[in-house]
Amino acid sequence: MPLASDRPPKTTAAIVEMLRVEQFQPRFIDEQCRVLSHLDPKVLRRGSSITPQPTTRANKSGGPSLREAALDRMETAAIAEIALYEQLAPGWDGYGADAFSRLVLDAAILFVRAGARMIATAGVEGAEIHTGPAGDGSIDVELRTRSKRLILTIYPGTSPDHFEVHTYREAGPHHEERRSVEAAAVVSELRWLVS
Amino acid sequence: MKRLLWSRSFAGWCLRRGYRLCWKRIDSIPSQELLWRAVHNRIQAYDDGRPRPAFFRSKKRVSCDISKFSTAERSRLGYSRPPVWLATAGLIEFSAGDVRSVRKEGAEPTDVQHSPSRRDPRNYAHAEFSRELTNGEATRLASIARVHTMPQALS
Repeated sequence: MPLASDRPPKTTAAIVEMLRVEQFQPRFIDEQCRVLSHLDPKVLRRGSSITPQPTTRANKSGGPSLREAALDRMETAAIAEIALYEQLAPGWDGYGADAFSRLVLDAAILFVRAGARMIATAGVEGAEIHTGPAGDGSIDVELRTRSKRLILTIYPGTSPDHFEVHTYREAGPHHEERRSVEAAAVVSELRWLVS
Repeated sequence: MKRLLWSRSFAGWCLRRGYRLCWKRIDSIPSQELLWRAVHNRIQAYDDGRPRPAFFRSKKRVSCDISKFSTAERSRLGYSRPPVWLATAGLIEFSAGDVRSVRKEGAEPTDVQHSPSRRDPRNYAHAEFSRELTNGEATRLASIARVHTMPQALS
């Protein structure tokens, strides 16, 4: 079954549209995780997403599990913090920092939601979500599990409707960086985090 | 002479004073010398005060102060008189050697260069990273940097 993300768009503007419209809608992420669970036995063992019943979103009493509640809180806090970035005037760090563009903020929120959804669906324990503002108007979305760390850095592009994503992954002593990745690569990095 | 410049002795203090008066640019900062960078906003640090990687990552050159030519309060609150930076600001401490040590294998060296600022506010202690750190380099530096003064909103 081909994934939507296997057809990378050609332009950054198209990536934005893809992210907005399709990629990180909750339903889409669920679908991605289902596909992933077919492919990756590690995720399948966690019983996260192959079964049609809700797994991590609810406990026996039907309410959210503690893990889910904690993840929801982290997601909400991260998004609230990104909303704060919008209010920061140029020079907010005392060293002449740039303000953040709407597009970068939107992309950061989408990545936080996508990461939280991916973690929840895979049922990963002990995950953390952080964001980090940089002086050049870029934003880090940092997702951590007990053994892995993934940082997605969103840079403003050369025009208002462009942005660029760099990734950094770390698992123990091993780390890997990639520059200017496409939407498909973001999804695969998220998969790596929860695998 | 260069060794004396970094010495804690009275002679070292006098020499530093002379360098400052002449606004002389220092060629190289020894690896053991401490650098300070202010945490202006609580969102730049984790809840425990440690800097987030983005604190050290910018396409603009990352600024810091050479501690021997500054005071913690000046670096924390800025060089304007009266200070325009928030009194709640914190201070992160790391060494020039830390910056050099985080270089990604095969990449251009990372360094700190003395860059005294004549713009208002004048800051002789001002230094800059020689290039933008990659995500991995910034992450490593953030993990080894120390909290000198906790931002007050976090304490």
